[in-house]
Amino acid sequence: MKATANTIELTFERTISASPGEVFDGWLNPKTPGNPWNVAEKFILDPKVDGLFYWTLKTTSHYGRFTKVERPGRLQHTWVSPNTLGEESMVTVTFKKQGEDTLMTLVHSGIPDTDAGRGHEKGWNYFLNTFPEQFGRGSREVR
Amino acid sequence: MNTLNSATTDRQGYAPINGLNLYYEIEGAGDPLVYIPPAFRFAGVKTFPALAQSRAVITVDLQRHGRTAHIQDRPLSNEQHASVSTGPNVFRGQEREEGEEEMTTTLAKDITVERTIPAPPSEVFDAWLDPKVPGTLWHEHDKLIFNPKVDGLWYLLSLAHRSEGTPHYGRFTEINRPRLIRHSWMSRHTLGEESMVTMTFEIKGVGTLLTLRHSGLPNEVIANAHEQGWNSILDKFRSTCVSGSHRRK
Repeated sequence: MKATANTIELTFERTISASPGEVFDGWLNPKTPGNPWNVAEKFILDPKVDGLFYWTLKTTSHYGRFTKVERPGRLQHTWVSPNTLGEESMVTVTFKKQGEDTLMTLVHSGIPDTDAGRGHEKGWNYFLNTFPEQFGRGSREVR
Repeated sequence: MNTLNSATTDRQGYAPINGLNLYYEIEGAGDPLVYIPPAFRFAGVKTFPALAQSRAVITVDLQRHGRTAHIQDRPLSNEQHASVSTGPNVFRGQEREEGEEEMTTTLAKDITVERTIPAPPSEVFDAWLDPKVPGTLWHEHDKLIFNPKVDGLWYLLSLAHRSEGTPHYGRFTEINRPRLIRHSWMSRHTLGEESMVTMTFEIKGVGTLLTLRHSGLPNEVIANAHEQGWNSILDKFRSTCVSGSHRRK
């Protein structure tokens, strides 16, 4: 965990047994079990640059705007909710080829350094532990 | 802990607390519980039947609210309001005891702003959803993403007042031309909470009564700031409609 001023940055890494393209597509496809869209109570998703999203989980509404959609290497969007106090935080996901696998790295920056803000660590870990299980050859956490 | 019952105290009246003549009402009997209201003329209005079965629930009108007078030169503040929790001591005429309880809540706030506009509802409705019309919310921005249909999302960035800007996000939940537009609204100024904006357009004479209701704002300070913002936007929108420039675009 990295902290600047009053915000924190969280980084998560997973090695997933599939190509970057497959992992990228799986992460954005609401039909893929384990990604955030799949478990949403309600979502609206428009994954293109300046496309917006809406995502509700446990009655908490989240909004965001895609700023980079570069298949298969990079995805970036804002992330705003009561847990960020309405401040725009930024989620950057990169997908790097690593042999036959993909190193998926999710960096969530600009999160207010509050209890609710720090709670994002648990949230992303939940998704990043279930999502890789959807890919055939299994997965493991990067140490 | 001493209990309050109808024999030991008046059920309503004025209590001298911190220089205030605080109006109060008591419901039920038992250990005292002071309810500190968010504002308003509260004493005796909102009752707590379940609590009053076992407690003496004391409700009050805060300074400058309802039946409690203002004290000049004493600004209203949460600290000031909270000080009424010393009330039971005054009611009982003894020192505050350990374990004495108080409770408070914060209520989401709603605001309503109205304008009468000399144009028919369909014209006013269409003008409001056209970002090219000066005075509409959608015109006053530095970046706009806008999809005015049910479940369409919007994003509006204002660079005024803050170098990194203030992004606002929302979702249209109802669009019923020419009568009603409803969408959610969130930003750092709502603390990220989803509030709701409902606009209605009603025929009034040869014009339109435009009513904007912004509900679910997290507190009074935030509600006041939004009320000011909407007043300024709707003044500008009305001027545009009065001048007829919304038809020229």
